[in-house]
Formats: sequence, C-alpha cells, structure tokens
Amino acid sequence: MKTELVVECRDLTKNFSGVKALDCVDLQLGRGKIIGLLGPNGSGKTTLIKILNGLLEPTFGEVLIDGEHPGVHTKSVISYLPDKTYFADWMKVNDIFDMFGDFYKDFDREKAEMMCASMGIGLKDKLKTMSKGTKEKVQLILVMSRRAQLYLLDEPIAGVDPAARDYILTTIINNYNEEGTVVISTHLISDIERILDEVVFIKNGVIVRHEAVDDIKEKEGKSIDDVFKDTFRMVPFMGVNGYDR
Amino acid sequence: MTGNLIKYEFRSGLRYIGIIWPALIVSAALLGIVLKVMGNVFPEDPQGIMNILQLIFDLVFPLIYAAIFIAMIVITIFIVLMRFYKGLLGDEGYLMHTLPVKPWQLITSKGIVACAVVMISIVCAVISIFILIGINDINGLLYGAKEFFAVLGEEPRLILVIIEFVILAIIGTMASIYQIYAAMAIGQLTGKHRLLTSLGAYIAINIALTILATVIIVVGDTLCLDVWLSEWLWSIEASAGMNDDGFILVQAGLGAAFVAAAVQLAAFHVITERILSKKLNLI
Repeated sequence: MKTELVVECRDLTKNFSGVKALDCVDLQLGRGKIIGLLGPNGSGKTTLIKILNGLLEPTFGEVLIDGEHPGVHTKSVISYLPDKTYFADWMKVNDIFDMFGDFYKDFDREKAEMMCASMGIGLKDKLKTMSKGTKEKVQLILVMSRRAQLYLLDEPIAGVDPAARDYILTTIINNYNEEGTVVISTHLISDIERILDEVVFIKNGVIVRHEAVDDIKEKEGKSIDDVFKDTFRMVPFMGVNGYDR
Repeated sequence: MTGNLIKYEFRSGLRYIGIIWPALIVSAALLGIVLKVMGNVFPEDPQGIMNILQLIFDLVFPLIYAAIFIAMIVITIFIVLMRFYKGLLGDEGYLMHTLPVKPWQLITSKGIVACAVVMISIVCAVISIFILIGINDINGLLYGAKEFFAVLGEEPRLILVIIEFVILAIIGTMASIYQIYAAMAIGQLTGKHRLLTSLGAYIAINIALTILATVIIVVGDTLCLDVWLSEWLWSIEASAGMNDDGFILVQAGLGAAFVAAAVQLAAFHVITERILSKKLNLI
C-alpha cells in the first residue's frame, strides 16, 4: 500500500570528518509534485540526495522512502540522475537499455527508444565515443523512461547552455510519472521556478524553508529567484579600504 | 538479480579478454607448426637463404606467442583490479549502487567473474603449452597421458585429490581476489590517495595474515599439536585398515588449507560488504 508521503526524514544528520553536511533535517515530501531543492554550492543538496537514494548512510536520524528505509525496495522506486556520467565504456545505448530493462520493472523501453530517436541518438551508438552532453541526454532518457515513485535529479541543468536547459526541463515535465514526485536540486532558480510546485531551501545543511511556490509568491509578492537571493544573500568583500566601485 | 549482474560483468570482461584467449591458442598452434615444419623442411645449413627465413620465423612466432601470453596476464590482472575499482568505487558506482540489489550481490558478481577469468586464463595457458608439446612430440604427449590414466586406474583416490585441489584452487583464487577487494574498499575511505591507501591496506593485510600464521605455527609447535595431530591421523588410518600411505594426512592437509582459504574469503567478503554498505565514499 502506498504511503501518503514519498519521503520522510527525521532528525537526519550527516557528518564528514566532524563537519556537519546535514544538521537535524526534518523533511516530508508528498506525492505527485515537482519540488526544487534549492541552495548555494556546498549547502548539502547532493548529500541529502545521496542519503535518499542509499549512496550514503546518515550519521544520525532516519529516512523513509515510500515507507521503507533505503534498500532494495527504495532503489527500485527511485529514479536517480547524478551529476556524473556513470556509463561503463564498453556499452552501447542498446546495452544500457537492456540493463535497465533487466533491473527496473518500471522501465519503459519503447518510450526510451522514441526519446532517443527524437534526439537523433542511435541505439547502436557507443557510449564511450559520445560527447559529454550526449551522454547526459542518454542518462536523462534512462531516468525519465521509468515510472518511478521518486525522481532525484541532481543538478540536471548545471553546466549546459540556456537552450539545453529548456530542453531538459521540458523533457522532465513531459515524461515524469504524475503519481510520483520529482526533486530537482539546483542553484539556477530562475530557469526552473516556472515548473516547481514546492521549494525546499537548504543552507549549511539546515532546511530553512519548505513551502508551496504559490504560497511564497502570494505572501511575498516576489519571484522564487528573488526570495532565494534574499535568503542566501552574501555580503561582498569591499576591499581593505571599503571602497565601493 | 545476481545472475543479471554476472551477465553484464561477463560481457564487460569478455570485451577486454575475449579475443586474447583464442589468440593464445592459435598462436601456440602456429608456433608449434613452425617449429616442427621448418625444422623438418630445411636442413641445417647456416649459410643458406632458407635458413635465414627459418631464423626469422623462429624469432617472430615465439615472440608473438610470448606477447599474447603476457597480454593475457596483464589483462587478467586489469580485469580483477579495475572492474571492481571502476565499477563500484568510480563513477560507474553511481549506477551500480543505485540498482535494486544488495551490496553483497554486487561484490559477489565481480568476484565470480574475476575468478572465472583467472581460471579460464590459466586453462588457456595450460592448453597452449600442451598444444606446443603435442605438435612437436605427439607420441610423448600421448605416452604421458596414458601413464597418467594408468596411475589413476591403479589409485582411484587420486581423482578425489585432484578434484579437491581444483576446488581449493578456486576458493584460494577467490580469497586472493577478495583480499584485493577488501584493500580497495579500505582505500576508498580516504578522500585522496585512494590507490596508495589501497596498496598500503593490501600490504597491511598480508603482514597481519603472516603474523597470524606464525602465531598459529609457534603455538602449535610449543604445544606439540602437530605431533599429536599426525599420530592421531596415523592411528585413524591404521584402525581403518588402510594402506600406510598417508592418504588421511593428505586429506587433513587439504581440509585445513580449504578451511583457511574459506575463512579468509568470508572475512574479506564481510569487510568489503560492510564498508560498501556503511561507508561508501563515491567522489
């Protein structure tokens, strides 16, 4: 039976060599939403995502995905897009599709092949010889061709040009399982705020805000990008003599 | 799911070494033929042109065989080391560790395939040597085989010993591979200098094993356990009315070696599995 919440974190803490990457995070995410996990670099976004998908163990606290602790079941319902390319160099597109078909029951191969065709990627193309951008596209196809309960997309639009960002976001909103939840981590707010239902602001490993986008806009009368800038504003260094040029 | 993991791991390994195994057999056959035919066709004549040709063949074909042999050893080691390191501790780990399988399944699939690759390489090396011998001295080879089977016919218990040796070789190989895996799993705990730390961990494990073995031998020697044990085994052999040929002693030795290898294998597997489950450190 499906739980009401797809993600539940209680008192989640992660230390790296004494440094707190996450500090007593309490977070509840419902189903059927697109959620922005927003924070500056080093705020703990990737650490949180890695704990959710079982790549890291929390130092304290617990996390439940679809009502269960991270393990075989949670991995079968999470579709994860890391900020790395993870292909084995011997594989062709066909091979990685075979692999996803073997391991994930919710993988829709037909959809993946159609997405490949629309991007001009051949099924017999070798992953090793692809450009970094094409590899990222194949990874996006793999992730979005699953009918997952939880999509964890770690910086999917970082390091790509504005046209590609639009393309990636359109692919995400047109292909995700609407009963599932999409979590997109990024610090490029203006590009994604139009597709978000909720935002989670994270700063120094602490969740400082978790609210619906419409509520924030209604309350503050500002875009999420502006609210983000206000929340994470840093005082620039003005020089030794404090000259403001 | 472990079967699926093994399937993809084999496909990955075969991509590197699949061509080397038949190439070694073919090069051994060619070398054998060259050594036999050239020696028979051309008489000894150091000044003859054909003998220069023979000299070239005599140099080239052994070199090709040796090069493929060395390549097979290097690629086998590469598969054992890098398929684990790149596959589970490098960027590929982002895919492998998020598949809906348990860490022990990932480790086991890598271990089984690495062990199979090592075993097939050893078998190919042995076959290639037999081909070399067989082409040049088929009668000698057949005579050797006949003698071997005659000994087996006289002493069927040797078949059991051979099977036990093969099983021990497989378990021992797996334990050696898992020792490398455990060292790499320890090495990945450090953010930087992972390979150096892995090498250090491997050496440290070897030193620890040597110390442990020495302690066991010294304690056994001090308590005269070896004398007591051998007398006990001889008495069992005598009371069972068996020949006074030390068969039970050999069985006990093989059994002890099997237990030692199995304990090491289990310990290295647990160390690797615990680290990858609790302390995975993908960069």
